[in-house]
Amino acid sequence: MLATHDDLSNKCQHSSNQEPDHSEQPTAPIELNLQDLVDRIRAEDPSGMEELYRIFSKGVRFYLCRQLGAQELEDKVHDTFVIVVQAIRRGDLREPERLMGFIRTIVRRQVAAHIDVAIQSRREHMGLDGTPSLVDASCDPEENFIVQQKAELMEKILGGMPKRDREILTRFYLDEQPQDQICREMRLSETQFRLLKSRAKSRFGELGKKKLLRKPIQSVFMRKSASA
Amino acid sequence: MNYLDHLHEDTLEAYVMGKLPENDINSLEDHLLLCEHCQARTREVELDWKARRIALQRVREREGSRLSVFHAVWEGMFGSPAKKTGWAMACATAAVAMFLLVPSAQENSFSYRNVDLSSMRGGKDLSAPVQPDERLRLHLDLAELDQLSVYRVVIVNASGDLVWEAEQTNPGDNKLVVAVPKRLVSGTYWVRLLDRSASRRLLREYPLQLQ
Ligand SMILES: [Zn+2]
Repeated sequence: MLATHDDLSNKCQHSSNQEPDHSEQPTAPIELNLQDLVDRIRAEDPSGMEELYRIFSKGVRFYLCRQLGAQELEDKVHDTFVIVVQAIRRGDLREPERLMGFIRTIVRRQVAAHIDVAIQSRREHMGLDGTPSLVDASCDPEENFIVQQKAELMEKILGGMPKRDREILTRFYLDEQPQDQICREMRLSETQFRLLKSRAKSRFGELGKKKLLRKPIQSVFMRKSASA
Repeated sequence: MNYLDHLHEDTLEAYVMGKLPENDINSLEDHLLLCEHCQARTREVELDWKARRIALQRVREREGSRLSVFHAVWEGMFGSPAKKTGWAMACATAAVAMFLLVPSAQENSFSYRNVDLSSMRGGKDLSAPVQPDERLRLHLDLAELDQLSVYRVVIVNASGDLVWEAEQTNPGDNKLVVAVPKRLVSGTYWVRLLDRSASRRLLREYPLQLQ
């Protein structure tokens, strides 16, 4: 299987044409020749390992960080790649075009194993002195601050929204009711529901941009002042 | 969904909300393994979703407290409606009851099961599975804790993912009663009590095991 840079440039587009993405079109990330890559790893060619790491390390790090937090993240990424390479060399990956699914499965197993260990150690710890030890699943130390800041802005926007619109959003995001139940009970068509959601999101986005734009300017100024 | 396609906003939202079917998760995660652009978008969608839930919860609590104040003012002026007789009072009571009950009937088409979480040692194991029309009302023991006017209550699953959170006023009797409108399926959960200030300091954690 061969997926080229050009293929990716052409194909890396939205899977749905219902709603355009607001973000700019990204550059295609990689050129993939999975058969060649897997062959080189099997042959213990260092370039194969390097390429595997270059292509997948950010994705693996993203997944592990999202599931397990930032603690000892680099070690976990490294361990995952060791397992992937060993498994490929053992011949566990029969079809190179399934490399993505193969890596995904290994990463998931790693996550499950880490969670088991964390739960076990937490239980043991609690059994001893009643003090809980926690796995902090947050990747970004500023995440809480950002979320709280966004929440404040959203709260203001929600306050100015018709009560019925607010109820629809509450049912969907807070009570996690299924969309069809909300549509049925609130007498909405699927289109009306989608429209309301996207209108609310764009209002959150607009106000958020206006308010949050000031921050980088301030921090640039601070850095310049400090270096002067 | 092809792993070469960038991910649609709604799909990402369903993913972070845990509502995406397993097959779609596989191809979505295959794409995320390769695409930094969609990794960044996933982070953004997740932060927005968390913020939206906090904002909606705060609005709900504010509206809830407005209803309570109205109720208290009514009782202060006229006494308990149940003790009064007479046609005028009956009509007025009915009107208030309509006002107070209609929104809650819309929101609460389920019954609450009381769960006492008084110990940090060992998991609280519910004796019977939680039914689809049942929600939990948690009674958290606040003894020997910093007494704050308001606590943040956070429920996470075994892997530490946020399941539900809300702020709850301390009634001052060493018990915090928290109604969780979200249905919790079987599994292991941790109910965390946090300082609601920016530090979000963890005050106590209660294990909860649901069949
Ligand atoms: Zn993408």
